[in-house]
Amino acid sequence: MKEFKVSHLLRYSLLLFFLIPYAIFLFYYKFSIDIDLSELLWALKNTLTQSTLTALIVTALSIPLSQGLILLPERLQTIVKRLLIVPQILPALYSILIAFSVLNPFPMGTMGIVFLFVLIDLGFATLMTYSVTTEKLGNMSVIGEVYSLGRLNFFKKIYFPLLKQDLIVNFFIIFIFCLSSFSIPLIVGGGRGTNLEVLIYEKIFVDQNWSAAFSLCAFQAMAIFFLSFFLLKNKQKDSEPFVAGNYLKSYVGLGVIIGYLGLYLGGYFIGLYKSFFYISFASMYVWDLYDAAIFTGKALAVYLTVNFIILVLWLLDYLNNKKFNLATNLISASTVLVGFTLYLAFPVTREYDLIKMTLAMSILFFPSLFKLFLQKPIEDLRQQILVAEVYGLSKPQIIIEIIFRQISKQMLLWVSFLIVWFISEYAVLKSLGVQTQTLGLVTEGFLSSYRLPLAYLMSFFILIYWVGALAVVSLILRVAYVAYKKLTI
Amino acid sequence: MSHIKNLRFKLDNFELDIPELNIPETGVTAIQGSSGSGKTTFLKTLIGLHQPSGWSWIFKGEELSRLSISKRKLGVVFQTYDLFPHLTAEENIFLILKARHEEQNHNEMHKQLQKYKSQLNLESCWKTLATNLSGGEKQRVALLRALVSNPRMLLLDEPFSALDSDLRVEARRTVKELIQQINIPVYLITHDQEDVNTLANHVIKMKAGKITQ
Repeated sequence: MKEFKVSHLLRYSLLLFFLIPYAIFLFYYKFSIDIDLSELLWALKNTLTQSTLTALIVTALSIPLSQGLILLPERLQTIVKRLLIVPQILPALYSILIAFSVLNPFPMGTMGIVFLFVLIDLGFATLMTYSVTTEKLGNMSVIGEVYSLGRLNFFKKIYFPLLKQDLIVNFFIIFIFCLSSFSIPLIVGGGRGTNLEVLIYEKIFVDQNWSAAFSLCAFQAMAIFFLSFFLLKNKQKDSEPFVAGNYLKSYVGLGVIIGYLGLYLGGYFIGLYKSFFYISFASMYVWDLYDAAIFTGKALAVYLTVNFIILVLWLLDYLNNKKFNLATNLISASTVLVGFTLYLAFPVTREYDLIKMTLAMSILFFPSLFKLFLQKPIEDLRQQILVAEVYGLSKPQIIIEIIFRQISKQMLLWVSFLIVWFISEYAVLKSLGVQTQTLGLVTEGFLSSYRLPLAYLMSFFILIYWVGALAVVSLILRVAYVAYKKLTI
Repeated sequence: MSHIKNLRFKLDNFELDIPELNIPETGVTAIQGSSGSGKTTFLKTLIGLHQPSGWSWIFKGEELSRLSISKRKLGVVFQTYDLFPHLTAEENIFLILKARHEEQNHNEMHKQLQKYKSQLNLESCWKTLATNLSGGEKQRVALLRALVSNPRMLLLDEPFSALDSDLRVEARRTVKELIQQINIPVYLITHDQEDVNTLANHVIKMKAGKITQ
């Protein structure tokens, strides 16, 4: 009975942790409709236009691109798949820099936002479409060829009818990512591309109109919850063995993949190369950079410790209940909502910056990064976990000896992205009202004032900082594991 | 006799319905049935993976149905063996040995371990990573793991189905010799008549979730 209560307490405590912003919101929210309707409709129109256009474009393009991917031999396919996910998981900062270099002058407003969203999400959408194609179509393309169906007919009669539902789900995944995006519209929206998130931000920090901000937050939260409902059902897919017939291969798709990756990666390196000629300008900011780097390092240490504790508690909860916490579905929480509620809950002074940053970014990043890197590898260990339980291994032993030891590579990736998302983040910090300069905020300052070469140099510095931080964390984890083994022998 | 009562459990479109069942507390009891008869669901319930309400399982005077998975102290060899692939054969065994035995009993268990290890012919692959073991070696390591875990009973879930037919004959003989040395009951889940003929002292037949014999 006691164990029963403790496991329930853990489960609900974890869920409540990730719902803190909504709890604070409900605490402060006094129901009053204080919205300028024309302003809301205009922001809503922008939001829907940006999200719908992006989702349509990337979903449509993902079809030929996934066929380009299928064309590749397995080893090359693995490399290209990893490259395709890079724009999605790298901080938005890098995509903005690349976009600014590629399109000069950059079209600020809705078109610019859509361009950036497409740049970021196209690779990810391609991988989603590739995944559903290989899981669901089995041998059908070959059979279509054997019976001379023709490519067009195959797509009309087989491909789209079978994959229609999955493509719609993919559309909504991208739609929701765009809907709740704040960092891109903040920099690139200008005045004309203001979406709901930016409007909320402006109500708080520019107009000081909190009741309007609350009303908009409530509206947006309901929209995201409603749409996310489509994604909450994690259906088990029975995958057929896949055979890549010619109807599912496309050289045009492959060409577009090469162009896309070339644009993204090549665009960054060319921009970075050009920025090295401006290093002397960067020397004016050396001491600001030094202070920002020191504070970022301290905050990072606290943040990683907290996330590690959350991970252990998350796994204990999983071992108790044999399924992941419901909070794993909170992958697209509103940045401004989270930032604003913590801005309200804590004093706006430097002393509280560290707590606010740690809380906000843990709530925002943990569920999505866990889902991206760790959820499936841990689910794949389900049978081994059962065997370990049957043989009486304790939960800490199962976590360390069975789970951590077998997913160490995925954990390294997870930590790696916890670090880079944290150190390059600026949008969340602005909505938190953080007073101290961080590496992300310094970079955003350069970006917003169109000092692109300095922003590039900062982005490169962040990459070096990232590698250094990861090396330190890896060393600490190795030492900790050796100490643990010595203690338990 | 081990006594099971009121075991009723619905899973998707399948229903396990065992109002009453007595299983001998010695020897090998084969639970035999074709694919889909409910053997695996029954096994998972005994392990504790499924937790139907209102049923009872009394073994040597102790109510096991209320116990958690680890407290039931079973030794299980799954069809897929499920060794920990990142550990050597040795590490797979010692991990369980430490978990299941009090420290004062370690020496005694080590002696038993050496004896079983020799009988199962595991010296040559003892330091090999589990992921690199052959099918037959995995089966023997999984069996050794079950034997040294100090179980109150052994559950063998189609333990030979993943082996080639020529290996199966030898594996059955090895398992039979080992079982005769231990003083705990063995429940053998199988669809294979040869398994039953070679190993079983008692047979329980299942069909569509019910006991038929």
